[in-house]
Amino acid sequence: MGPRRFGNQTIQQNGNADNRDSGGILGRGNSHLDLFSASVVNNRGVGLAMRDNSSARLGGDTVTGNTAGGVNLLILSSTELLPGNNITGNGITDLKCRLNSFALGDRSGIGTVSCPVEF
Amino acid sequence: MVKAHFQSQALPDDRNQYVNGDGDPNLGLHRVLAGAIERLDAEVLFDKFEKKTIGSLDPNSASTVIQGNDTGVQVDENAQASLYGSTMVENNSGVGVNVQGARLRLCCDSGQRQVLNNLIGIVVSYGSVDMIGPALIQGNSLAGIQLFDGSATLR
Repeated sequence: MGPRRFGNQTIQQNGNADNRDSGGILGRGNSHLDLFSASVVNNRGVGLAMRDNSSARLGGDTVTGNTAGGVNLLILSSTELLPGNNITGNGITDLKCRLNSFALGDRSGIGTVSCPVEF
Repeated sequence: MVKAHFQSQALPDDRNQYVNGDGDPNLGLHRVLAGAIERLDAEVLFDKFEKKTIGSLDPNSASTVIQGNDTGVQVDENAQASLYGSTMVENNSGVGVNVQGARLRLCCDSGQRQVLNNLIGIVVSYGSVDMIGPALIQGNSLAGIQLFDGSATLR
């Protein structure tokens, strides 16, 4: 068996432009996501949305080209940004927080931000 | 809905295993054929507490294709489903892989798991999915991965 490489997951071209609740990865209701070295690209909708007391840890990820935003946090949700992310070039906003949601961690590699952030 | 249990088996020349929905009720439930399209009007069901594997870590093993059903793979209450190697879940009209209070594991470096062109690729409700190694979640019309009080680790 060769060396383990891991990573290399691609979530792309999911969702549809007519449904604002569609996209790449959607988490709600106390959900948690650990996303490391993955690509969430060119989804028709949001790349990644966490809502309703959900959380995510992102590290080494590429989140680009998603039509309705890169990372959206809604309703008491949060994300920890670990180093190595590229969250740029998404529609609307690359990182957006609404309704008592926030982001913390490494600000580098993040494009447009509409969020109370604690970097 | 007819539900079937699926268990992959290794045969010397098998290259593609297809499980799809074309409505022949007389076919058996365990599917391994060499280079053929197998038709089965049933989803792959993991019952409570079951542990099963679809696909293989052997890089020379067959590609497993689950397609054309309502739900492609259903994993229920405390079951553990492992999708290994070059397993594809595609073109199911509902959810590709539906995890309800159970665990789903996609692994490892051998091959690439693909979940393509379903309504939703993977749904996890009150359960978890671990995705290790190459995977492609593409073209699912509502969402690639949807979590409801669930967790996902992609690494």
